[in-house]
Amino acid sequence: MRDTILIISEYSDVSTNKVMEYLHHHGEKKVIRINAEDVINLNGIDLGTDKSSVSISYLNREIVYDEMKSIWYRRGDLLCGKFNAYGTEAIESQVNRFLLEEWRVVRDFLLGVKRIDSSVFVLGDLSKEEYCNKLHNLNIAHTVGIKIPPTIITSRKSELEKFINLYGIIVTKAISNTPTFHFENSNYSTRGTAILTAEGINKLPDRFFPILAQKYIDKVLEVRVFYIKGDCYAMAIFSQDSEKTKIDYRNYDHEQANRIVPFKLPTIVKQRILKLMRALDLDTGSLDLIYTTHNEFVFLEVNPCGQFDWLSYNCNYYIERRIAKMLSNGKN
Amino acid sequence: MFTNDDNYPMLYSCCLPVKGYKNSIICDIQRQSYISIPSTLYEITMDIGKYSIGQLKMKYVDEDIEIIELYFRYLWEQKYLFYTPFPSSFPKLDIGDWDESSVITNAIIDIGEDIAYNFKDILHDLNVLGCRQLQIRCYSIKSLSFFDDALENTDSNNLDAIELIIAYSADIIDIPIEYLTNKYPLLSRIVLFNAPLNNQYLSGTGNCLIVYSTQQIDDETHCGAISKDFFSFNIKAFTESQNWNSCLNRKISIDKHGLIKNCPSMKRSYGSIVEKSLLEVALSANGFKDLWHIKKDDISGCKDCEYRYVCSDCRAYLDEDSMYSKPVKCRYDPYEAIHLE
Ligand code: SF4
Repeated sequence: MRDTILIISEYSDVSTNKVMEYLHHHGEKKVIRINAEDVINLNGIDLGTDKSSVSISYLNREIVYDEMKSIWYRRGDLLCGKFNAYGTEAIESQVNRFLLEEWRVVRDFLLGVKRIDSSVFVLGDLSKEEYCNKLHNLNIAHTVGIKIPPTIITSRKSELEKFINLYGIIVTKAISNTPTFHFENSNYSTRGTAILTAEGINKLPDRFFPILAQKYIDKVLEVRVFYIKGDCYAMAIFSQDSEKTKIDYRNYDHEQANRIVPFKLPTIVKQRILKLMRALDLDTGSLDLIYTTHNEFVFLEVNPCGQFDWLSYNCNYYIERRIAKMLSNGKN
Repeated sequence: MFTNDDNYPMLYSCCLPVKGYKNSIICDIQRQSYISIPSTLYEITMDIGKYSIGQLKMKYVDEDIEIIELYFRYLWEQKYLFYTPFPSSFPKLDIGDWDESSVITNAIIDIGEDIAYNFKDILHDLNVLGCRQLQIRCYSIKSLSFFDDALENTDSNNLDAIELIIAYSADIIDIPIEYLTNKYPLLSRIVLFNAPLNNQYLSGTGNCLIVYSTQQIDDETHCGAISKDFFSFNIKAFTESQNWNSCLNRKISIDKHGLIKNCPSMKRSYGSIVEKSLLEVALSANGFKDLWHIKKDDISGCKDCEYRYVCSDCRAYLDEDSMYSKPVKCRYDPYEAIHLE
C-alpha cells in the first residue's frame, strides 16, 4: 500500500511543523520527516535484480520506496552517517571529499524519486535548490518578459562609476545569499541590500572582487509571491511607510510594523511568473518583486525554498493546509 | 489627499470595521489594536474601497465630502487607510476561513481536594488531541513536588504554552518558582492569587510572566469576566469568532471534582476522568462539540456589540437561562455604548 509521506527539512523549520500537524490531523499515519541535522542509513538500493527496491532507515523507521505516496523536499539535505576509512589517515581529507562525491550520487538518486517511480507525488527539488543561480534567474526572468532592475557584476571601479553616473542611485547585495560572519562570539550579518554611494565607490581600489550592483528603484510596494504548483499566493508589503525599511524590508521596523496585506497580481504579471517558474522548472518558490513608482512590477529574486509562514499567516492563506492536502492526496 | 479623483481610498485589509449598535470599531488585527468610530460613520466606512474620490464627490454633497475627507485623513494618519488607483489589487482577507490542525487547542484542568489525577494519562491524551495551550488551576495550596508531578510529562510535541493559576503560599515563591520556570520552559505564566500584594515580573529564563495578585479566588466562579484586558485582536481570534465560540471552541476541561466538561464552570459533564478518558470524550461524547458553534453573532446583546469578534465570551455565567444570552459578567451595554472596562 502506498501510504508513506516523506519530508526532507530542517529541525527549525516552522512551516514543516505546521504541515505535519495538518497531516496528522487528517489521519496520515506514516509521515516521516528527515532533518538535515540528522543522518540516515542506507539499507539498500537494489537495481537490476528480480526484486528492484530502494529502502533507507532513519531513526529506527524504515522508508520503503514502493510504499511511498508523496515526497516533499522542503529544504536542507539528506546526509549519510560518517564512516572511518581505516588506514587512509594521511590523505583523510581527499578520501572524505571522494566519499562525499560518492554519497552525492546516491543522495541524488534517492531524491530523484520521480525517476525511480513516476507515480510518487513530488513537491520541491534539492537539485533545483542547489543549482539555483540568481544571475540565471534574473536573466531568464528578463527573457520571459518580466522587468528586472538594470544589473551589473563588475570588478572594476570605472564600471561602477559609469553605472552610478547612468542611474544616480545604485545598490549592492550579495550575489549568492546574505552572509553571516562569526567573530569573537558574535554573529554579524549584513542588511541585505545597501546603497552604494559615489564617495564609497571613490574609496575602492581600481580592481576588486566581483560585486553586484543594481539600479535603485523607487517603490510603492514590495510584493512577495509564494508559488506552488501553478498557483500564486501574493502579499503586498507597504515598506515605503517607514523610512528604515526603505531599502530592504529585512530591516524590520518593529514599532511601526509595515502593513502587510493580501495582493492580487495583475493577470499579465501572474502569467509571466508562471512562465518563469516553468522555465526554471520550479514547482515551488517564493519570489520578491517590487511595484515601482512608475507602475511597473520589477522582479528581484526567487528562492526555491523560501519561507511562506509569515505570508500565509498574515494573508490567512493556510498554505500549510494546502500543502498537507497535496501530500495526502498525492496530487496537486 | 482628495486631490486625485482617480484614486480609491482603501482600508488595509487587516483593518476590519465591526458595526455595533451605537458605537463601531475598526479592528487592526495586524497591530492588534483598534479605533472607535460612531456607528453613524459606519456606512461611509463600508464605502471605503468601493468608490474613487471622484465618485465619492458625485455621491455626496459638499458639506458631507468635507467631513468624509477629514475622517479619511484621520484614518490615513492612523495608517488604517491608503490611496490607490488599483483597488482590485487589494482583495479582502478571507476572514471566514479559520482552521486548526488539531481536535483540541486548549484545555483547563482544575485541581480540587477530592480527587488525584493521573497527569501522565491526561497529558498523553492532550498530546494526541493536539492541544497547544494548557491552563492548570489549583484552588488550594499544594507542594512543589505536586507541581513537579503534574508538569513532568508536559514536554510533549504539541503544547506551546502552560499557565499555572495557583493559590499563593509562602513556600512556593522565589526559588521554587524559578525552579519550575527553569525546569518547564513551556510555562508562560504563573499567577499566584490570594497573594499579599500585587506584583509581576519576568522569570530569570525570560519566558514566563510571574503574577502576584491579591484577588481572592476560591473556585472556578472567578472565571468568565469580560474585560478589555481579555480581548484578542489577532487574526486567529478574529477569524475563529466569525463561526465559532470564542471561549469554548476546541476546548476541553476537567473540573475540580474530576468531571470532564467543556469548561469547569459549565454544569454539563461528560463523565468522570476516573471512568472516561479525555480522548474518548473529545472524539465521541454525545453533544460535546455542540457549544463550539455558538458564535457571537447568535448571542443576544453581543450580536449588536462592536467587540463581538475580539471578545473572550463566556457560556457558563449567563444573563438568562438561554444558551444564547449575554455573559452576566459583562457590564458593557452596546445599546448605550457605556461601561466597558
Ligand atoms: S460579552 Fe459584552 S463586550 Fe463581549 S461581545 Fe458581548 S456585549 Fe460585547
